[in-house]
Amino acid sequence: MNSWLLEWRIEVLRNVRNRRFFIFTLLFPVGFYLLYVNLYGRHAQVGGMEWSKYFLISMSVFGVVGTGLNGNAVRVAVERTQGWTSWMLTTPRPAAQAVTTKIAANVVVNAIAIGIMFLVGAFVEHVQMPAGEWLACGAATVFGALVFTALGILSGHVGGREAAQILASIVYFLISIAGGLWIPIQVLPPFFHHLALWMPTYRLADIAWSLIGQRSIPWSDFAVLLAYFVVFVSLAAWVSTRPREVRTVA
Amino acid sequence: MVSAAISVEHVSKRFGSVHAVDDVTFDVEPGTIVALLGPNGAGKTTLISMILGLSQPTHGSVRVFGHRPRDRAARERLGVMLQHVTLPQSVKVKELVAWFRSFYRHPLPADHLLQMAGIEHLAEREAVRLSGGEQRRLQFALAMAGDPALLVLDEPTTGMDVESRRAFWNSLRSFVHDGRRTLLLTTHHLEEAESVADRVILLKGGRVIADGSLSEIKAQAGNRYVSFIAGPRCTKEEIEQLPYVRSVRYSGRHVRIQTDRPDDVLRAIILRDLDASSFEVSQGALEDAFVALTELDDRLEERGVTR
Repeated sequence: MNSWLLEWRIEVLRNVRNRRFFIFTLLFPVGFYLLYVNLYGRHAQVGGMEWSKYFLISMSVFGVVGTGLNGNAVRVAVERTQGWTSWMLTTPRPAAQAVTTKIAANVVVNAIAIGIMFLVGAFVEHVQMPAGEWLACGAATVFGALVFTALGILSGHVGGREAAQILASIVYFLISIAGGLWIPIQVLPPFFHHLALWMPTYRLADIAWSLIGQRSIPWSDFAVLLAYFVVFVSLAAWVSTRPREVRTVA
Repeated sequence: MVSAAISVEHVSKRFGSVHAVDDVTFDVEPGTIVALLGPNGAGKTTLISMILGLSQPTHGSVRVFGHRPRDRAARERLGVMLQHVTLPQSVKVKELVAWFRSFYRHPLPADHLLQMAGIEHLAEREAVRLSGGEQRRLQFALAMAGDPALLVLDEPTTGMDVESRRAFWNSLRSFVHDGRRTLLLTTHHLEEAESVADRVILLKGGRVIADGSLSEIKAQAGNRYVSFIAGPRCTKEEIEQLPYVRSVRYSGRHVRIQTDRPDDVLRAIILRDLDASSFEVSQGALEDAFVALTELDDRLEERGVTR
């Protein structure tokens, strides 16, 4: 098998075999979704749609932020600081392969996560949408979430194992809350509304919310997401190909 | 002309004001097994990391088969075992082997690699769950994945128990001694270096203080001798007329002759029929040579001699 495809497959398996995947990507979002929808009632209206629909998107995005950020940050940090990345630099593996396979693997993992969320929404909370809308929302979230994959890889490169884990967890909760995934920005003071507009989390969810609300998607959603993605990927690619200087002077 | 497997030319590496490696020059011919030895902090790992292209020399140049170490052409022919590597989580042994094989154009068969490292029974296990020694053997299998012409092993036996160390060197010897492969290794266990290396490069304070075959290094350290108990008919003149004698030490009837060629001294004693018994012959151990040479270097340094 081609080296890239093989590494991609291994990265997918590593994600799925990881306990964090179940906790952050499946358990948390599904649990919170069921809890909050039942707390406020599925027919409450938020952002021009039913709460059960609105919050389904919020928690789907929350789930893929978890995989992209938490899963990758720790893994990359361990690989980088514990010699693995150095070792790989001595092999003929193409330099960009590490980053590109991780990103591509997250497409698969995100698709699994979104698929499960949407099944829970459709069959447990009876969310109804035309097939095209389900697909469009799913696809937008799966690919849009790659911003967080890139951010996770970048966080892993910045700190050591502990630092990366703490950094990723803090960023994870901050951008989820500031992006209006936990509490809809419609019910918050205007300051939070302005803040959310700069959050990749809000921008990603807004694409799906716009699709469901039959609104045209603001071009700024794509612009903000793309800008974050380009910045994170370029920084990550730059750091990942720089070998760590080995210092062993006693 | 066939280019050297490794060519290190006037290489220095400075960290701030510290010279971790200080003007080191040597070539390694293809097909040889070279042990890089030295006390802690001698600069072994720094030198290795420059040979592997993981860090850049402050001065000088390193070539691997005539290529810069970071070039793909060099890396295709290189197999590496680093000192401290944590294997990635949630990956099975056989997946790691397949992963490494996929980087190379002519990889060795997977079952062959597992068998050679003695881990065929662990193929389905998760790599990080293996014991320390098993992980080192797996890393050896991965280093061999691309059928490398040059194998660089930095402290390959750390974390292995005595039994797996022996097994490791046995498999390494059978694998490397076909003359096609060049091997550069560092180790703390001198007897291990002694059992495999054709050549020893002794590093201290970032400089090469001895470089040669095992017998040359031992001879240089001057700890080869023949000793015996002299009988009543044996005279001092007879002893001092023996060939290749460097110095003689007497303690009562016990005689110890320092020499570069203990075998020839012994032969002469027998042929000349000296009245002697209880022979003891020492070819010198690498460990003694190592200690002697590093101490010699310390003394020269104290006297302000620059080598």
